[in-house]
Amino acid sequence: MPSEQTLSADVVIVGSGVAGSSIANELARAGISVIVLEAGPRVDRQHFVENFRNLENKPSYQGPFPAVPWARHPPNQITPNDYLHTNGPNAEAYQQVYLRMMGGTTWHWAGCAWRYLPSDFELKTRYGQGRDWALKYEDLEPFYYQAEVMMGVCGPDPAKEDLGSPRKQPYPMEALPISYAAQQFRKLIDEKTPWRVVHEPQARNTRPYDNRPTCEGHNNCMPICPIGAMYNGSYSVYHAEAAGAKFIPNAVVYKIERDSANKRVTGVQYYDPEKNSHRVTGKYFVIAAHCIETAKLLLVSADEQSPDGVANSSGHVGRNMMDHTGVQVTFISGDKALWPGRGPLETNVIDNFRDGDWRNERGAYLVHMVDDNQVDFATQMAISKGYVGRELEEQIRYLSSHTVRLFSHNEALPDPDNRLTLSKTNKDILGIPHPEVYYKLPEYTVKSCEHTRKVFKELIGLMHGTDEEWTPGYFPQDHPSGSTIMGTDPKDSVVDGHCRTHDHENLFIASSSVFSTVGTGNITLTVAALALRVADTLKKELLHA
Amino acid sequence: MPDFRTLLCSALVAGTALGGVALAPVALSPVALAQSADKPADKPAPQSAPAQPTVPAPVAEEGKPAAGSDAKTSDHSPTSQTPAPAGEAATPANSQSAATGAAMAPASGANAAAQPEGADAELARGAYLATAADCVACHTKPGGKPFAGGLKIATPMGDVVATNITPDPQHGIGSYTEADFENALRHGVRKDGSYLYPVMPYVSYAGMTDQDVKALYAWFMHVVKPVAEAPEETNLSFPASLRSAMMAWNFVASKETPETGDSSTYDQLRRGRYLANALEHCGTCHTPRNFMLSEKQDHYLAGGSLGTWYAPNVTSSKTGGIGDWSEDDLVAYLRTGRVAGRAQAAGPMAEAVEHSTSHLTDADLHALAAFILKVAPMDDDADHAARDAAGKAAETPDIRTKGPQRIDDLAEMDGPHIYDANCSACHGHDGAGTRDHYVPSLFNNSTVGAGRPDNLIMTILNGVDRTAGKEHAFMPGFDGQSNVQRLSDAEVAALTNYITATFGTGDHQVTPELVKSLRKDTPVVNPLAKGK
Repeated sequence: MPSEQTLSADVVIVGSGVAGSSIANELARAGISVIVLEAGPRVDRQHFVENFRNLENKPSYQGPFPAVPWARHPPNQITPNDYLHTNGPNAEAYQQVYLRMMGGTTWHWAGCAWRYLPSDFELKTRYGQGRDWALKYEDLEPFYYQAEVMMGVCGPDPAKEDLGSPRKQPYPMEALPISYAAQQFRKLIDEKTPWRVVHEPQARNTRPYDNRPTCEGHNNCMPICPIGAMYNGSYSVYHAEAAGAKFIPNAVVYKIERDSANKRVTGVQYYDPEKNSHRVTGKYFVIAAHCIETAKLLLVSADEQSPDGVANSSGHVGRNMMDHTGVQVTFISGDKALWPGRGPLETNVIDNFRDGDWRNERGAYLVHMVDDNQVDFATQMAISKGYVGRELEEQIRYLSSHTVRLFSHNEALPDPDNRLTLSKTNKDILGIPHPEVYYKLPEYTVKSCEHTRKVFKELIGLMHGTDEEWTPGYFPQDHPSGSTIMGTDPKDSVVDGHCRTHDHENLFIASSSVFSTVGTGNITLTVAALALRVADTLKKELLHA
Repeated sequence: MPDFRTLLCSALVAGTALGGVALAPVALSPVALAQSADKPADKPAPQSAPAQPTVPAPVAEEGKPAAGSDAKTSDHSPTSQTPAPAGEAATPANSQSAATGAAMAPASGANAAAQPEGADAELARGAYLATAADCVACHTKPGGKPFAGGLKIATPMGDVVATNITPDPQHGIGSYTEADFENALRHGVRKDGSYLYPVMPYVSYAGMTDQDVKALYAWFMHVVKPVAEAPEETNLSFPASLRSAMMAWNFVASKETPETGDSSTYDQLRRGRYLANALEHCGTCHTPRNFMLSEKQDHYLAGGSLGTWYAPNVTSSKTGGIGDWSEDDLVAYLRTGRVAGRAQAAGPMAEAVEHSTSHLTDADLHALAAFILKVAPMDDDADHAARDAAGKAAETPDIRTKGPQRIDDLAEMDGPHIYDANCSACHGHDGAGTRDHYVPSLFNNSTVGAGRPDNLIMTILNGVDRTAGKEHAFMPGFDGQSNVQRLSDAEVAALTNYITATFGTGDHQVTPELVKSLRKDTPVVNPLAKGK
């Protein structure tokens, strides 16, 4: 099919999630023309809320979001998967989920908005492990704040609760009140352990903010906040559109074109759902398509000039895949009822294991006491124990009020062998290969998880817990990162400290794929901060050119 | 006259609906005034004025259009929140409230704790009057400096831009003498002799006493911080472009007669009448207008449309008005913007509560309420039973039938599904709201139970954003700018009909066309694949 008229803009962005839409918003507000190409469709909240309510399996985070055929995303976290094909010794541990649609994966997240610690950017220098980033915490600090304002992040007063990432301003909103369950948990930790429980910074309204209401604690942040109290990328899409950015949905980019010198990107090509091809040209290009899809796109664009894929002279595109692969246990507390599930899902964290000298041999981690409603879990357990009638009801009541779920985010290391490649056998309806990932948990992470298990066992003991149910093996946290790794040396990294590809001077990447290490905090705020820094660089170059 | 009428009406609409002005009202001046108001006879009135009749007679005549514009509804970019979200460069401090605080500081500081005297007392009185007359609502644009003007009041003839009334000599009213000030405030004539558009409610302010005009002048001149900024010029299309046309209108329009004596010494009903008419200008919205756009004084407070929002009948009729309310109910409403099981303020009334009535003294609120509740009852064309009497908790139907639909299925939904997806999370499946009534019930709710669906539609479109005291009541809007959910005209119509049928007085048969006519925002930014 012939292409329609070629579209053009100063900046062409691939992907409309938190990274792509926030860059689009910043640039459009500065008067720069922007086109954003989103592989998935436009969506809205009310249909997701209805899907969620119609869903039998409520804990299925992907359940309310059945993908479109031209922009598949993983349907679930089950291996084997019919979209994200994982293999290797820890194939199950890398079974990530994400969403391809306007606004991106933040449609279902828990709003945890951590800054990384200064040490997370200097793991090699400080602990002789992994890599250093090609930027320092201080470089990112102003953009962290900008991201917190953009999303609306609530968090504790730094003077009272220092989370280890120095701040120049307080959080835009006051911290969430700690739920009853979290209060009980914190009391136990305070009294019986050397550790502490802190408020988790959350991209969630504790007052009306950005024309969205205050959180009411519906407790289903994942899969869908029913009232819009939690940030998601769609708000940045709306703001960017209001500022003049053009978003094109159902535009599946499959090719990144370069000039004859292979130094500059000249355009991208995309398929619409009928597989008509379209071309978009621009001065600058940003790939902001999620860690997995970004690497996939660079690899898919391989041609004679770049036989290993675009921006891949180092051979590191698709390598160094990381996550916060962790440990999870659920048990029944023998102490007082906790009544979890009142409030947002994740509000409190044990942060004592985020940094320490031991990071020279084992990975850091943080611990969530997840505050989710446990009626479903309790009911299954009560039935499996054979209760019926009135006793069943009493057991459900007892178990759901005494269930404790703990999980951890454990730090991975960039290992080039942990690698994303293009499937040779599985292709989507447009003929684009599915992604495949080989994953073997780094020894560093295995040791970290062993430490976590010991701590969890200690906590279970302190709470006189019974009926432990450990998630077998390792628990993927959907924080994939590293596939276009950042570094100063073009021979072993894909982007520089400004997220500009070493190979192509006008091609940037805004994604967790640039992370050089993965730290312990949820990745989204760092993705947003890096994206806003990319926007800042682009503004400087375009407005002062 | 239609053009002129439309002009005035839309000015009215915009009028109180003013945007995002976070005026921290004068901390101490209300106290100061309260003290004097509470002991009426202590001091002789400065001028020996003949005692006014205390009859709250449904009144002589009163004000004209208020001014203002609808920033909150027309501009959904984050307004005066502390740090601005939405990707505006991160500028945390709220310059506006800071500036306001600074502007107000002398008045409050000077009068702290003690009963103010002399000049201090006059400034304190002036500050309170400015709040009671809600000057800031129109004369400050969202994010702008207090009283520096610049707020655009959208009218079909163009934007009327509120002027800078800070004491800056060049851009504001710094060169105004007290007589100039009085002439503008009570007669609508500027210092240069040109006529103000009656968007400025000078016909109401005409009722202010000389002493209060003087105090207001003193406060503006001495306490308000001068701002050297020139707002844009108002540039209306013909014939409204002729300011001189206003002279003719002024000639026929009815005006308040100036009150006399010391307004702080009036007895309760006279004080209430003064507050209602000369300061708060209630009738500007709540009294219907005749063909010349003068308020129909024989229908005082009997309700009128502002084009979008409807200012309901608040006479003492038990069927058409608020005759079933107690004085305490009305005081609570004016102070907090809500009374559980009766009503809550949104739109222009929320603005009035936020900027003005929530800052009145207890004595003044009781005076105002006592006066309003004595206003002669008027039947209503549409409301034949108390608006807050309708409805009861109702379980919404079981609609859990289908499995999840593909993410690109954005087909328009019907009433029950729209309610389920967008309303039930807060208002409950039974419409009962929250136990503390932060989220109100939908039954026993004047907005739902009203004979006219206008305010329910407007609330769905624009939401609620009202700060009174420590409470920030907020409901997101569902219009074409919503971050939460953008509903089509047909969906808003279906939802309105479903809510009134389930929790109110029955299906109002609202059409998508009516919703379209009330929708003041620009069309849905992304016409989603509705109805696909």
